[in-house]
Amino acid sequence: MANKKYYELVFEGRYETIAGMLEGFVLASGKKWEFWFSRKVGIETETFAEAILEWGALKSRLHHVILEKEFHSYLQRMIAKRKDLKLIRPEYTKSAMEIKTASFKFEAKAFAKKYGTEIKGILAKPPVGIKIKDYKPHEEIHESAKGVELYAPDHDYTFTAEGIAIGEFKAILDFRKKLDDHPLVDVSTIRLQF
Amino acid sequence: MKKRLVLLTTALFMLSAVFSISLYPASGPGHDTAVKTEQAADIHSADSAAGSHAGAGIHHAPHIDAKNLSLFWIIPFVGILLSIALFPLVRPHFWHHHYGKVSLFWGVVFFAAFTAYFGISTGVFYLLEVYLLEFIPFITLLLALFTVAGGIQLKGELAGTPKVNTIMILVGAVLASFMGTTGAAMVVIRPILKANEWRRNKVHIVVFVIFVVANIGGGLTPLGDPPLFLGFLKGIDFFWTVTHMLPLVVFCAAILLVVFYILDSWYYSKEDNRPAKTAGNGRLSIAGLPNIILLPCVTIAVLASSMNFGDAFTLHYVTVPWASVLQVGLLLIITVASMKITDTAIREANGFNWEPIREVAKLFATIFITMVTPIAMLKAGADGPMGAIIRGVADNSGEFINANFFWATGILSSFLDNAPTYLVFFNTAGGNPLDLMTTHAHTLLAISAGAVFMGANTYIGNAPNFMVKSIAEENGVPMPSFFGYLFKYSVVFLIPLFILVTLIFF
Repeated sequence: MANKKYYELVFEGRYETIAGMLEGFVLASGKKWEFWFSRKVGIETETFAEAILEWGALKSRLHHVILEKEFHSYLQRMIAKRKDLKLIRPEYTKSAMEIKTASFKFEAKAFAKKYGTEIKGILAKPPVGIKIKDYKPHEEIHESAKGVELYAPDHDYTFTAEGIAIGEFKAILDFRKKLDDHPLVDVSTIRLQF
Repeated sequence: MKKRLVLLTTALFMLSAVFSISLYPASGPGHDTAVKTEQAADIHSADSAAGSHAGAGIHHAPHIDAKNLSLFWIIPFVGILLSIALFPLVRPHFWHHHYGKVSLFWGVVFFAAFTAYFGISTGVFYLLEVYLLEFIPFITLLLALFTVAGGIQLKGELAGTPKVNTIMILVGAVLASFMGTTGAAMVVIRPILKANEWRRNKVHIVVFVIFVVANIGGGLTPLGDPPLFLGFLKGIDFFWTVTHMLPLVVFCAAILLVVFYILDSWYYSKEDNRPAKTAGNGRLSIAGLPNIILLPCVTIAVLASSMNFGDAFTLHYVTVPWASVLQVGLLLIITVASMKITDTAIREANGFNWEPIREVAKLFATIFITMVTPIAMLKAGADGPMGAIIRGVADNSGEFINANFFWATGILSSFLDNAPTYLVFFNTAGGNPLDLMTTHAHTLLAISAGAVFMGANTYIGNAPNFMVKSIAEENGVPMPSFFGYLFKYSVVFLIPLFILVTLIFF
């Protein structure tokens, strides 16, 4: 589980066709393989043309999908065997790269000790396979700022933190979701290293 | 150091008052300051002539002639307003610890320059007029409302559904006009946050509390929002405000509540960890019944100030009516009574402390005195130093353009405190309450609505906005930044609504 390898594949085609193909393939195989469309789970897609298309809200025909290595290998083998198919063809797989590591940046801001402690707790023990880099937590306590204020608002407690989480793809994907689900933490998209 | 400075300034003010009183017979026409001041014979100020509730008869009082005043005289007023607007955003820690000193600085700069230029007699006259007839009634009302509101608590194990949230915001809007927007926001925000603790998307709920409870809901009575109380102090009838503002407040609150319900339902449908239906029984209860009884007493005390019981005393030309003394006395009694009868658990649940009142007192003490020159300049009319403002809200024939009043008051109220902004435009429109309640009723309505409603446009538009933001942040709500609030919420929800208000009402 810990050392599973993942590939980023770029498929050309319609999203529904690709998603349907992958789901059908998983169903037919009887395996519990997983796959993720990069855009749906906050993974940075790297081509400039795609970024422009995305920016212009135009649909891209290139779809970045992350697959387990076993799934990827099996799929490519099967596709290569069936060159007679019309919608699923080997040339529609534009690239396949093994993911070495994945990373994302995070920022947190909390104004109550309860939430500061909660966030510190999450960041203090990252899941196996993840390291936190450039972690800069900062805690300020101003006892005099306790209570309700109108014109001179100030918080008696402030916690800020920022850093980079880096590690194995699946662990990073889950950890990013965990942080993203916390309302006081902002996360960037996941950057893949190949 | 700070205490010493305050003591020193107070002593200086008192000394100058005593000094000028002792010199009173000597001052008058022919005195040096007569060049710059008007010793109008038998002048009643415009306020009192029109029946101001502050109601002083000011005989032979030294008035400044503002027609030829330099615009530099508005620097302290603009300085204190910009300090209030900008420091909390750029230097919150500094501001939190030193706002009193900053306020004192602007106040002392103004008063020193004013007395040096116009003479100590004129300076003390304005000081007494502003504090005895406006500031003290103003701060005692806020004190009483804040104390009473802090003794009322909304209770209930509520589920945080769109229906419950809409009802709670509606309750807050109704309370706002009777206990003030600050009090209502303080009472409502914590139960709403508690009910929605489980929800991931709740920023919009807090934003709509700011829109409806902390601002628009307070538009119905002079108790609701400080600008309207200042209008009341200047002679606007209590029930004029109620009857004229009612359609606007209902219109805006209704639209915002419908929009909120739709928006909240959409966000609610996206929540994937909804609690079981039994989590909240949906019943909202109110604790602190004695304070609810005290609320109408506040209204009675305020209304008492508009009666004529004669004059209580005169101090250096400034006559304080018994009605004003009665109002202040009653409000102080209500404050003490509320403190005595309220269960401390309720105050703790509301996070009640005196800091908000301290802040209002320290900052408005300066705002009120520094407003003397800008208001005199506005009263000087279209040919005065601030004639450009007046010409900007009137057409070629000199008739007021109400839509311009609404937007000009509103835009300034969005970025500066809405209470002084209201007074600026009140005086731009002539400052005569009788005229403004009759001939120019729509102009006054535009000014009132602009000041009250558009305080919601930014965090700095109205004091409770910051309070609500701060409480929400301490309860784990990731409130948007200043510009995030402005562009994601105000521009999207409020500006179209205000355009609609302009088209329908002005």
